[in-house]
Amino acid sequence: MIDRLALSANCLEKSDGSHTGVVVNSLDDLIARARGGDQSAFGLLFERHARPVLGFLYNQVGRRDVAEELTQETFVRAYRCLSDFRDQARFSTWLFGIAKNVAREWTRSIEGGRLRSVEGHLPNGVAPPSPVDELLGKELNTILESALRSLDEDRRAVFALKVFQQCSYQEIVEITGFSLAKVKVELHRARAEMRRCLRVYLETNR
Amino acid sequence: MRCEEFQPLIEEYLDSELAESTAGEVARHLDNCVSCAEVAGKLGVEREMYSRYEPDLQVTPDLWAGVQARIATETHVPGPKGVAWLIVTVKDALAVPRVSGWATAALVLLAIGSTAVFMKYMQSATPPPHPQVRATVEPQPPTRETTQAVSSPAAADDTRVKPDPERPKRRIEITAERTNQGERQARQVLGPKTPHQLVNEAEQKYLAAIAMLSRNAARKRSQIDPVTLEKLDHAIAAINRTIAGTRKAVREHPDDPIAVQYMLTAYARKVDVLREMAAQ
Repeated sequence: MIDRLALSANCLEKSDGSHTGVVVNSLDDLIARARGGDQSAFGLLFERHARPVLGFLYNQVGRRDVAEELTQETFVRAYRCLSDFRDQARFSTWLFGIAKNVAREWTRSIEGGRLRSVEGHLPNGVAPPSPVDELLGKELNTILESALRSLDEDRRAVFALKVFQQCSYQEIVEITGFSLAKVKVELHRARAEMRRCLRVYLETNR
Repeated sequence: MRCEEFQPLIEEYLDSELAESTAGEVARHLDNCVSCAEVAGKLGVEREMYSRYEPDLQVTPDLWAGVQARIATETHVPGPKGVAWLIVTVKDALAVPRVSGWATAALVLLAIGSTAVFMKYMQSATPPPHPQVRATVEPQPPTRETTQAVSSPAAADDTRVKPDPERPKRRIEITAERTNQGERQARQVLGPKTPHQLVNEAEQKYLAAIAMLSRNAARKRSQIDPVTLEKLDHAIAAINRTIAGTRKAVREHPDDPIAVQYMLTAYARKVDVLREMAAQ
């Protein structure tokens, strides 16, 4: 029963199969243990944060295989730099910051920051060929991702962090290093560009 | 303030980023201004669409295995660097245990006792069971909607909601098969499911149900009278804000059962409103 979630302390299992008993896995505790070289603790940190990091990187690079590779790189760097991490209340913000840098390095290694769309992004005003039903679900993902790829790198990062990762403006400031004013402007412009790309789809659904 | 001054604030208002007093002003203005309410409504539709975006991504056991392998091959161990490392090393080397004579005696006795217990344990034929303790936190009693939707989000596909016969179901089945395979692999590698994984699963199931119901609701929009439609859109926009807020809370405090409960309840509410729309 999903509605009777066993929100319990976890029993950690060692690699040799023995149990360490009940461990309260607070974030602070996991970070402290991971700093001490406890890979199972770092494994739990990975388990908690890998999905949003993978999603963010996928939004940034547009390729699943690359996003997975960069997720690994992000966590390896995080492990290396755990001793530098100070503000434990914002571990996810710190992690997104690393992910953003990793994505930026990759993007710069290819073509100038603007990603090529696999499907070809929708030109403004050109109706998508499929009917409404076809555009929903998986098709919606394709269209959104195409539109996302038409944004430049910084704008895409701000948009993805706000809209898909529900970060606050202040968190985005910390992750990107942009000023609050720049975050607001980039977000507003990203929304406007996305709206233009998705105009036909949005009008069909209104 | 005039509409020209309010409209740039609407995005921030919907992002819940305005100060309380300004947010109150914007809310009052939206209640009384049709054109600004229309702008907010359009932004709400966009948000609704973005909330349905769910890329088919899975954190596979291979991903963690890759991280683990790379960490293992590195000689670096997390800890202080440079001068800080030198200071810590020298301190450790020069450190003298600050233990009194009585404490030392107690430690020796404890060590002897532990050794005796260990020897006895080794001689016994049956090993003791693993100390596997599970402290379950009871969530708040779920509402009817929560129970219905959480226990079976796919049950959103009930008699009132008539989706296209085969295609959506097949898609959900395929997803479920893939998820099950992934779960089995994950269990083999990472052991029993953690509460965090269970919450993720519940969330994914809600999102699947919401995506399906949104399609039905989108079809019915033209048949709903404008006043009701506006109310429903407002309700969905409010729920989306709640979902965004509670998701954020859960992301920041994944061990907080209250945050999880609120998030799942918000999803259940959205399922309910979408069902209401689809049933019009």
